[in-house]
Amino acid sequence: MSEARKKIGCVVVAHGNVANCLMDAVQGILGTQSNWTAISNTGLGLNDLNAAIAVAVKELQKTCDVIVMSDMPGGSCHHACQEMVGQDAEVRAVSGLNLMMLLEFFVKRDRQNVDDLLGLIMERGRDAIRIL
Amino acid sequence: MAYVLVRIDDRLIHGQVTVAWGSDLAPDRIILVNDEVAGNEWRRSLYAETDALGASVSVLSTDEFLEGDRKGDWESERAMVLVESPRDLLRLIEGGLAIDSANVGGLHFSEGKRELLPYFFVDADDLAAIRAILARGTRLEARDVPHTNPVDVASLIAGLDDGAGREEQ
Repeated sequence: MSEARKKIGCVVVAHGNVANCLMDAVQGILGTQSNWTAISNTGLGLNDLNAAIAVAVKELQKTCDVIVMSDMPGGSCHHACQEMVGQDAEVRAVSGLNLMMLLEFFVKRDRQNVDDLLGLIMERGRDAIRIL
Repeated sequence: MAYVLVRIDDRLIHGQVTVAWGSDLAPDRIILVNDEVAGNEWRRSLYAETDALGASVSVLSTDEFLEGDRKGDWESERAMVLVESPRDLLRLIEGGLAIDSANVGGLHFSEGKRELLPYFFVDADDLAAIRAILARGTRLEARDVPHTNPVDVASLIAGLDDGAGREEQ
């Protein structure tokens, strides 16, 4: 494939309402964003969760590189994201999602390739965790 | 002197300012002009130590700011100025701050205020100050975050009575 840089989209996968709430917060701060999907694991078995993520990823991949982001390492959302990466090595995944990571993603995604963006997200997310 | 943004925002320094506007305008410095915060050592240090993602933060009283502005203290920087209310901005303009336009980024609901936009509520005092700012030739545009459509405040308040009470039928 020849390249202008591809857009980067994300699928946020988390427990309860966390994914939607995080995206509400992001858009409250940055304004309306495109090319993202929020998925809750509520009521979904692992197979259904895997399927929901796969559908969201496929849809975004029509125009974007995709990063899937989960809240808790070791949780079902995290496992489903790992499953997704196993199926499609083009998909990247992070866990331990916090608001600063997501903000960094949306602020920087138009100016970075996926690998550099992942580095920035991780750095910003870690730096946000502090004792006051 | 020129500032990259002069903004009225009753949340002072917060996410929309540091992350959204900060990413868009890449300021070197955020200047919070607020007599109450500047006069309270604890609050002053709290805001001065804000992690503004690369920008330095100054917390100044009205007088300190106006003196710095007169002397051109921030002339070589990309500085953003934040105030809490239309009344505070009017005080700066009356004190000598020369600006063509300013941003209204957030005046949130409190008892007795009427809604102009979801993030922009005013009472009679706000309206009076806004009218005085406009009368001095400073344009005001309402916009909470970058890359959204700005709303011209003069048009927005054109039909309002100053009572800030209920609408007339």
